[in-house]
Amino acid sequence: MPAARRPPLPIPENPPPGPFRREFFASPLRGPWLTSIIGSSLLPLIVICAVTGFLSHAAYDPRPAGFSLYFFNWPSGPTYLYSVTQGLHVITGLAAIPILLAKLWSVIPKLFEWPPVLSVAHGLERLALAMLVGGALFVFFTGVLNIQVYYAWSFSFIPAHYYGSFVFLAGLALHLGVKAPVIFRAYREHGLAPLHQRLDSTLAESPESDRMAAEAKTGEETTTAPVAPGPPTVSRRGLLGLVGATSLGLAVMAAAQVIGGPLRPLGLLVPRGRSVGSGPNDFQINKTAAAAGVGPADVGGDWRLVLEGPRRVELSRDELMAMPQATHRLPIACVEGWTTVQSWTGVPIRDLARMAGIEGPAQVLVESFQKTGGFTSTTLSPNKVANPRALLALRVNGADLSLDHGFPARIIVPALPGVRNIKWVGNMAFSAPTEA
Amino acid sequence: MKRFRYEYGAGPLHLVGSIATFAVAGYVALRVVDGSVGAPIGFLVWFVGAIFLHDFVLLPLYSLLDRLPRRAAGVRRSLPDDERRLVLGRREGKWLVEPAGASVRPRRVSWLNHLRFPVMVSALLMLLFFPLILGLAEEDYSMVSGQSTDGFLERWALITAVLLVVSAAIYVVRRVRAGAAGRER
Repeated sequence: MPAARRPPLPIPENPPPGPFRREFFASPLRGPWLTSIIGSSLLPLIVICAVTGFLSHAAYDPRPAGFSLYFFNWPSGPTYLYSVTQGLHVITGLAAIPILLAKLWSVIPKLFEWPPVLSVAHGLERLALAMLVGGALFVFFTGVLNIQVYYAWSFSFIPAHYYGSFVFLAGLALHLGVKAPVIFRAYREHGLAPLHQRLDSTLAESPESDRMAAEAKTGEETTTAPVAPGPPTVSRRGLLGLVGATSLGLAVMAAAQVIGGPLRPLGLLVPRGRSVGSGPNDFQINKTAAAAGVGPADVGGDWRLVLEGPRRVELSRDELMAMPQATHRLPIACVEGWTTVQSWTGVPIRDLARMAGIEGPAQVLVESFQKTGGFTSTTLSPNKVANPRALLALRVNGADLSLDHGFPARIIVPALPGVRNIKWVGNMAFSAPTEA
Repeated sequence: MKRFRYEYGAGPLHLVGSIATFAVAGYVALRVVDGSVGAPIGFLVWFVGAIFLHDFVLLPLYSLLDRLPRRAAGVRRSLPDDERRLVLGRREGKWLVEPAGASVRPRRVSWLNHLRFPVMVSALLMLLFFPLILGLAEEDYSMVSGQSTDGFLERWALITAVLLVVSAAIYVVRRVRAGAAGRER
């Protein structure tokens, strides 16, 4: 019978001692079925996480240096749009981690498979796996550290996390294509029967001992099933139950800091799971005045809001308070995956556009007078300016804004990431809409 | 086609897919090199370091640590030949090997998983949230949020304690029930 594949490189047939020998890995749980079921649980979470991640990217100002690819204008509603997309991103991201770790455990024997390279195709596959595993660990790890405001790295998080996800998802796409036959066969052969096995009836999957026969049937050299299984110490459903429960616990904690209100305390270990207090300004702060270099001296009676446009207008806080006010419940939805909803009172931005002399659609560049920090300005496109709920807020929950929440004035706009709701506003430059 | 498969080791679609995947990696590499991510060396170090830290530090570490309770619970490293079970019920039944006397082996409730499960969950929570729990993120976190990382260590310790206590309670219940069932026979 003609050989199915060019013979491998002249590597010694006998594997070196240790994990390169298949007898090393003794858990009877490993095998294509376990890996398939873990992978199937992981995939929907990854899909949601990836889609919401790219949406988050679009929600940020679409034109900072280096970013591209987005041709649509981020909508101005529904109000909780970014809360939902970014909340889901962090919830699914955290929930995926226990499942990811279980997946890596289930396939670790493949890292040490011997011979290491069987063909060109096999070698390329292993390189792509490095992209998959490295990419996954990179984006999940940087994501988890970022939501805790722990910037332990020297690179810039936003582009690194973004481009890292390209590497991860590209590796994943190839991996799914290559492994699809293996997954389908595992389900065809066993269905969900292993989930019915208790500890005493937990059986190992068969390793394909005859290499050529295996390769002809499964299309791959060896599986992760053990050649010398030890006795099972936990059933598959026990393991999957543990992983699932941990995943659910993380999801609940992450959701608690999005839904907030009475549920917030359920977020025991997430960064924004604690109540800040009970006063009108006691809610989650997304950047303190100290971090922005804003002090009481900067916000005295001589502060003026400067409106630029066909007309230039300077308004004091008293003059703003004398204008017709609107009150709306609006969220601050942070990229770190938390949301807080408060009742904001202020002047609708479209009224300010008219004051600056623009009657029809208008866009606005809003600038803060804060001295430090990124994101000190943002451009609001016409759909957002026209939204009657987009406010220049002066008060929250019936009291004046505190310094940390942007006194003397901040914008609060539905559906936008928290960082684009500029605090300590100094300047608003209105203009007729330009092409994106 | 056969020649292609012989030389390459898989079909042409595999090659096309691989090229597309590496093209994406190449694009990202360009972005890293041109400074779009800020610190090219840092990015590479973290990327490769992540693989290294998980595959060669974390996984071996927790695997080795798991051996201690397993040995204490009397779990043998491998099955003797006459007890080897090989297969997950292949349809044609060709490979099925049932160990002798398996069905009359008494059901023992072991404490092993009642220790492993809470410890694994607790360790994972520490692995994920160590910047808050150990206060490493205090500087940036307090600057940004106005809150302190104080209290997270206590929360993690409390969760660990609750997990251990609940697990122990379930163990006791299971032992009592298994004992009662054994006496009934």
